[in-house]
This record gives sequence, C-alpha cells and structure tokens, in this order.
Amino acid sequence: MPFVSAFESTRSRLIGSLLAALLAGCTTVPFIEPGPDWIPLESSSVLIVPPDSRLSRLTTGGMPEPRADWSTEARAHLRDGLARSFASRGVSVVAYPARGNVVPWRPEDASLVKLHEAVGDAILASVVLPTQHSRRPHLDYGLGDAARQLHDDFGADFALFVYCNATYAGDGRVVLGILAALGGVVTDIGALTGFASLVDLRDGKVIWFRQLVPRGTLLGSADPRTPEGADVLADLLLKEMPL
Amino acid sequence: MKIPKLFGWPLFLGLSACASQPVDDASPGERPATDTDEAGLWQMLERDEYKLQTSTGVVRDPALQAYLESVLCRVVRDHCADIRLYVLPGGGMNAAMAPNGMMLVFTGLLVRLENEAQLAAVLGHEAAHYVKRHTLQRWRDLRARTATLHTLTVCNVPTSRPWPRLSRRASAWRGSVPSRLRRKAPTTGPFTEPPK
Repeated sequence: MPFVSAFESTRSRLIGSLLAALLAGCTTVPFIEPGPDWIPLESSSVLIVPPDSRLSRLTTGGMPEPRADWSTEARAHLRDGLARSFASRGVSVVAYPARGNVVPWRPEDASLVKLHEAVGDAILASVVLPTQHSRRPHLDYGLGDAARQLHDDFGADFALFVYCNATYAGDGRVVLGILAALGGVVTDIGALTGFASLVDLRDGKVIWFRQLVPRGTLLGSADPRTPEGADVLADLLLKEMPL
Repeated sequence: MKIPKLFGWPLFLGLSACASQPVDDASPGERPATDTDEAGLWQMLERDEYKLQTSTGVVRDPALQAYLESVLCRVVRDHCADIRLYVLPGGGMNAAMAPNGMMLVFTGLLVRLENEAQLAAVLGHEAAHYVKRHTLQRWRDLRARTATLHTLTVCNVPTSRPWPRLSRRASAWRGSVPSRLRRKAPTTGPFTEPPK
C-alpha cells in the first residue's frame, strides 16, 4: 500500500486526504459556449421551469436519505435566486404558475422535465466530460417540438431547466469522516451535482448548458437550502451565460 | 496515529444505539411530518407516482379500475382513501405497495386469479405493507446496519494492526534488502560458490 505508507504522521495524512478531496477532477469543461446562432437575451424573456431538486442527508453508513423539506426549500430558493439574477442582468423573467410542493410542474410539462434530465445526462457524458475534443465541442441537443408548448402557453422565448442533486452529511457521517481522515482515508461527506440548460422554445434546441457546480469548485456558501446560498449558486450558474 | 480502542468502542455503541425504533401502524389519513425520513421516502415515491400518472404505460380501463378499487375498499375500509391503485401491463404474477400509498397491480396477476377472494387476499396483503409501514422499517433497518458496518470499519482503520505495521515493515524492508541479498545470494544462488 504505497499511498498509505507515504502518509505516516497524522498531519500529513490529514493534508493528504484533503488534497485528494480537492484535486479530484479539476479538468472538466464546465460549460459549453453558445454557437454562432446565439441571440442576445436582453430583449427576450426567460421562463424558469421549477428546478428539479433532490436533496438528501447522508446517513452514517453513507446512504442518501431523501429529505422532503430540503428539496422543497431548495427548489423555491433556487427559483427565486435565478429570477433575481436574471432580473439584475436586464432579462425579463416569466413566472411559472405555482403548484404543489412535491410535483411543481403541470402534467403536460412533466415529460419535458423528465426528458431534460435524460438529455442533460447525455450532454454531460458526451460533450462536457470528455476532455479531448478534436474541435470545439458543439452542442447539438434538444428537447424536441414539445418545448414549443411552453412558448405558446407562457409567451417566453427561452426556458431554463435546472436539475440539482445534492447530499449533505448528517452528524454521524461527519464524525466518521473526521475519524477516517485521521486514518488517511477519504469518505464521501456530501456533494452537489446537477446541470442547467437554456432551451430555445421556438425549436426546442439546448443553446447553452452548464454543470451546476463544475467539479473542483470549492463550495463554501453555495447551499441551496438557504436563500443566501441559493443566490450564490444562481450567480455562479449565470456568471458565464453571455446575455 | 492511534486512537485507543477505549474511544472507538463507545463511539460505535453510541452511533448504533440510535438505530431502529419500532414504528406504529399508519392511522387513516395520516401524513408524515415534513422533516422526517418518512416524508423523504414519500416525496421520492410521489415523484414516481407522478411519472406513472403522466405515463401512457398504465392500463386505463374504468370498469376494471372501479371493480379493483371496490374490492380494495371493502378489505381496507378506513384506509381506502389513502391507497391509489394502478394497473400495469405484464410484469408477472405480482403486485407491489409503495410507502406513500401507491399500489401497483400487474395484469399478469389478474389473469391468473380465479376468484374474488384471491384478489382480496392479495390486495389486503399489499395494503398491510402500507399500514404496517414496512418500507420505512426496512429503510431504518438498512440505515442502522450500514451505520454499524461503516463505524466498525472506520474505527478500525486507525486502531487496527495491519496498516501501521505494514508501513513500518515496508520501510524496514527497503533498508535491509541489499544487505540481505548480499548475505543470502552467495549461499543460495546456483552460479556462485558458497563463501568460505
């Protein structure tokens, strides 16, 4: 076990596990730039589809335990943060009608949200994560003609779909994580993953895509369970969007 | 780094003590409080149920649906309003129950049942999973078991013998290899004469 024997003292073990945790994959392309057919959003309107947020508590044994209250709060905070962030950039935001807490989408939009999760996974796997491209990565994905329904119903030009999956360590998991770090072993103490897509509602094409938090980013305050954290996350997300 | 076993064991016992408590039966119309593990399970399954409701893969036969629900309600009585029944095509001779009251009945079961009593027995069995909160019990049991397992594993990392011993042996080995080789090689190698 060469890795273990390299960290003999407690301090170097701690530093080693911290380093390993921080450096785990900083090499991914965080977002895809829009193509030549990009239309500035200033004169457009964006519909913020209620984010698909799934927040869980990591149990001591490392299993994600879904938390209904966190997921509901995170969705509301993210939606508000994104609306504020868009408004501060001069983009008019179209509100999505409020519905139930568990399922915030209209029945006719549920399949679009499901589709966005699948399409986003495909973009992540085929465009964002591969680090070597022979040419500039090109975004050629879409949600199809079904997205036009949103344009007809809400009059928006674009729609922002957000998928957010986060785990937070419970108390037992934190204690275990510290003990394991003393032993030089890195344990999973939570992560925030997800992605956002800006979809042109006229033809359903994904014109901009970004990982919610690129791997390697230090997540100090971007906790969507609080309004402030959701604001930080929203600003982080929209920072690179060329409006 | 060594943590005395004195600390490891109380920690392990403390963590595994907050394991599974017995759960009460669900009373009619009961909903879990939003900040509980049960609410998390419910929300997860309600998402799945919503997918089912907006899916084309569900058998939507009003007469069949009405009949199945009438049998179900005669069996579960007060819990009738808590349970939603969906008929899914295929799937073998089976039925399933989700912790939030979503009951799945597969057509593979319906074609094999011979009479209403058999149907009532199956529906009652599935409903009992809901009333007795079996999914929640299984989740808490699994949570406690994995917590125990991980606590044991992690507490043993700093305290157990193999890793520190191994690293000390490894360094000792590195230093002594050349001299050991020098000493042993002449006596064991086939092409050299033993030292005189």
